[in-house]
Amino acid sequence: MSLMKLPPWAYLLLALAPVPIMFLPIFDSLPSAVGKSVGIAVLFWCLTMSWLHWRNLDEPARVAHKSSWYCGGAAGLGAAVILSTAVIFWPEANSALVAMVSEPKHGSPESQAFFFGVVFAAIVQLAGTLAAWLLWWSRRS
Amino acid sequence: MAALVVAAVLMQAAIDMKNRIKVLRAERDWTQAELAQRLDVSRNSVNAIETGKYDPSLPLAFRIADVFGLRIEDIFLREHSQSDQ
Repeated sequence: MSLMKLPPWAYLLLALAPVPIMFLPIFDSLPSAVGKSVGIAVLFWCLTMSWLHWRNLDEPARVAHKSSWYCGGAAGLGAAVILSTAVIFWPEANSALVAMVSEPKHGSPESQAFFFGVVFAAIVQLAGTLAAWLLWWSRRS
Repeated sequence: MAALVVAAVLMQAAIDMKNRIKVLRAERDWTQAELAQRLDVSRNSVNAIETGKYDPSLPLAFRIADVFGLRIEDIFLREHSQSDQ
């Protein structure tokens, strides 16, 4: 069995496999150029495996992905907007967020806050996509 | 605009399809997994198509027809609703 013809789920596991590297304590002590190079290599690996995953999906599985991304992803982004707006009016969450970004390891507090915002939106969007994907298949199994 | 949407939904309901894949598969003594292998799709996909919960695209419908050696219209049948009659 070649690397080009694995079951689709295997490519997802391969895509996610190197991601924990980014959270190892040693990653912070690496020289900046090395850290960036490792980060770019991991990103390139994830994109390649995601492309192979998509390439090996059959038609209904692709339709499930597209439908889930469109409906679930959009609903997730809508939820992210509502939740992030709620944080502004929720003092505890607001002070927790300020504490998280006040002393960043890298970059400025503003760039850290922007990074958290993007990651938060992506996580909620992915959660919406996953929920819609599960619903799509549960209605067709 | 709302009327157009309602009309589109009603038209969609009027052209629901059914298929003879389960019967054709049984005639050939194929399991869903064997048919899936011949079509190069997953068994879940075969099950969704066979039970009418997923309507395949035209290219996939042609592939299904080729596997059974039949024409598309011999496999996929238009399920007439009362609005057609």
